[in-house]
Amino acid sequence: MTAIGLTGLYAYAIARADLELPGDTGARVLRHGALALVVKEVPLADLQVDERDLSEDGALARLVREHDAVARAAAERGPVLPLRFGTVVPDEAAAQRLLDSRQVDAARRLDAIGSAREWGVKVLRTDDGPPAAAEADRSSGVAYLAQRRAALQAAEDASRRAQHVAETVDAAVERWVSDAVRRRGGGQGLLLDVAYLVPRDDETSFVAEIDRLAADLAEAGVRLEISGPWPPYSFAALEGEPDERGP
Amino acid sequence: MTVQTNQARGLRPQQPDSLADVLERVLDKGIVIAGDIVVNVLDIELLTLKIRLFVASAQTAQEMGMDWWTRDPFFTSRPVEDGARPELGSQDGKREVPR
Repeated sequence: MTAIGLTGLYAYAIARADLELPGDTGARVLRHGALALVVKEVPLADLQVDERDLSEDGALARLVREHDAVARAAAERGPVLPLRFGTVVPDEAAAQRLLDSRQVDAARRLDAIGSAREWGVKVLRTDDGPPAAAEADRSSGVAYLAQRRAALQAAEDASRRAQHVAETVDAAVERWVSDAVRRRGGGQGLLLDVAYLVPRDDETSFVAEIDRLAADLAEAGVRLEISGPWPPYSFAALEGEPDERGP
Repeated sequence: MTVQTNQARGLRPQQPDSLADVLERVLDKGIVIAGDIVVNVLDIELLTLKIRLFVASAQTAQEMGMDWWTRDPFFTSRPVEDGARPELGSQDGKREVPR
């Protein structure tokens, strides 16, 4: 499809038809059937960004922050399913088609999310981790094999440790969360990156539990970082759509 | 950054979040809408890839605390290790060829 018009409707999130936005977001609510689409008319030229400009006053920062701010404001008023950043439809008819294509599964997903919010938990290694493999001593096949085995053992230990920490965190917060998604990727020393969906009534308990865990794990050379609350970005995926929920 | 600082920041999240936090949260999450409904004015898949490439290549990652992507298996097939890249001597070698 070509973008002939000068403006489009930036679509932030799918919500229930009874959503009322606060007045200061610049966005509006298009209702259709049982659902609503939170949109804002935007000049298409505003969506041209230079991906090399990651400064706070760059176009990308402005768009990303606005995306987050509107999704956040909407999520304060009721359950929302955030759309992928940069989703733009040409007009209201397309917005209605979008909602038509999602009437059943979106309504079900909105019910599942309810008033819960997303919290991010990262577990990072603060010690040096497994020692780097020493220079292989190739003078002796036996020594080489021993070193090789030690390196493999260290890697296995790190992997087992990550798994152990993941299970510890999951088990500790299980009673306070309604859903969890292991997030893809990871930087150096990142043992776990998980998003939890936490009902509002349980947020205080959840954060307290993470607080307690952080103190425990700090002694084991592991740091916990928590972020949130966020709109349910990691929990919006609908059935029939590839998501990142690992086994 | 000390452990205490990170813990304090982590357990009492401050607003607004850093751009890196928001990017990480927002960029490739959310419902994807079929191509025949949306305007392809912003090729978000390409943009995401470009930002990953930029972040991974320009050493902007650590400065911005955005190095979470550099080991993403989707993006890189091997871990990025500083100083571990093989030295390529071919350019120097050419200059040193005797006449």
